[in-house]
Amino acid sequence: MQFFVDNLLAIISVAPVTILLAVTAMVIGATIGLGCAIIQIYKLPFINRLVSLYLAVIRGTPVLILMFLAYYGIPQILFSLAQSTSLNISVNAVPPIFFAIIALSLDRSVYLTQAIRSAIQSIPNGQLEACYSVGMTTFQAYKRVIIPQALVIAIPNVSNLFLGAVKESSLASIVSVVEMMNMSNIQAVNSYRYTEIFIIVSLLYWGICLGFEFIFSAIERRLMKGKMTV
Amino acid sequence: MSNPMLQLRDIHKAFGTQHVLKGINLTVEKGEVVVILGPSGSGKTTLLRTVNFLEKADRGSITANQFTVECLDAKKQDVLMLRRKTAMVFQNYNLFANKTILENVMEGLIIVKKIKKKIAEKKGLEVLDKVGLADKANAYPNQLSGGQQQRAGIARAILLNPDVILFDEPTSALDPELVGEVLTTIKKIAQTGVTMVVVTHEVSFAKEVANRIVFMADGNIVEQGPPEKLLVNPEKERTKQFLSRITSEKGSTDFSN
Repeated sequence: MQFFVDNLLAIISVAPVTILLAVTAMVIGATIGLGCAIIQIYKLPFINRLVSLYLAVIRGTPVLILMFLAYYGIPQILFSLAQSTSLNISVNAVPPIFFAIIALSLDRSVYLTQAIRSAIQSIPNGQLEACYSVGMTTFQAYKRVIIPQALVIAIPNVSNLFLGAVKESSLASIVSVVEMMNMSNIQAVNSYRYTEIFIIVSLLYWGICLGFEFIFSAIERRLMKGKMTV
Repeated sequence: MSNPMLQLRDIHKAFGTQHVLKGINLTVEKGEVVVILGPSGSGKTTLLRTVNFLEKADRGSITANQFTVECLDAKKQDVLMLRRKTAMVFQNYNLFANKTILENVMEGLIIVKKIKKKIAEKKGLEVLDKVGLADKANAYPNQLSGGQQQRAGIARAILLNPDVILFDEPTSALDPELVGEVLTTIKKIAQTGVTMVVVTHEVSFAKEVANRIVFMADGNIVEQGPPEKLLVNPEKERTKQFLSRITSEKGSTDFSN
């Protein structure tokens, strides 16, 4: 029992890192995703094609490989940039979590693009026309009417993607970020009791996911209340 | 005829190969209520939608209260300006689903006219009272009946104090039982001297409220005139055809009752 509690506490102590990874990946991913979704909806010439290519490439790449590419690739780019511009950039100062966040954000952004695009496109065109008829600009219409409605519709998908982010953040352990998975590895190597420790960490992941699931459904229920026609 | 509130010149619109509007000229005086009648597919709704650029006309110009926009090279700012001189009541109400009824009617005042929220709220409640929805101010659109939603849509339009209000078949999506309350509301608004262009199928309503009826068919204005003239004694064969069909349909439903 003591073993269970000790390890549980040790792993919980880095749970904030796991949550930080998931939340930042979702926030950055949603920002990129919103931009890509709007580019796709309005079919902006040329950039639209770049976005399609971006989506295809990232969607077809395992997160683990994105993680490695960010971890090994970005320092190299920065290094050659530093040499060619004789700027004093040092990659050693950058904590590894930075690269993990980039990789996870890219991965989440492509799925969020789809979730946001489909949600926006499910809003009847009459809503946009009504905005125009009272004299709003397209930006005002999106900000005040279209996006708020689309968010409600997107919540179930976003909630899934968020839980995915929590679980995928475990891959950050491979680039030496000490989050829950990495901490479990450390504990396991020290005690040789792999099975027990991985059961403990899986319970923790499960608990975190359950918590967030609960939060998301509460948000959804609150936003749906009286607001949307079914 | 010196003070036209709305003037359409040579409006053309095609969807693909289908020529929907074939050069419409229409002038609406200040305070006039113009009702556009015509069979389905005659281009009535499209014409109305070109006025505030929900459809962009292929050719022609639109003047609203001395502000002229050439449809072909309309800039974003021009379109916005034109839209702010007009307001529209939609067939499907199109109330903002994420906002309460009060927020719906206030939205334009706050966002477009930059009026302070407190004042907008007061004006919003006033106008809701006028259309008989004061007690629904905090309800969401989907909690209202179709007739109530449409009255809220009308409130949203008149609160902006536009030069022209465009009504796009305001009663077509309603249960027959609810048509009356909406028409009464529109009639009340018409009496306040607002300039209105109404596309509708309600001939008896047109007779009551219109200063002038415009009859459209196949993308053209066939004939126009005061209701007592156009509905009773039309000049063109096409108009007679349309009216006789409508009145005979009316007759048959009357029989079944």
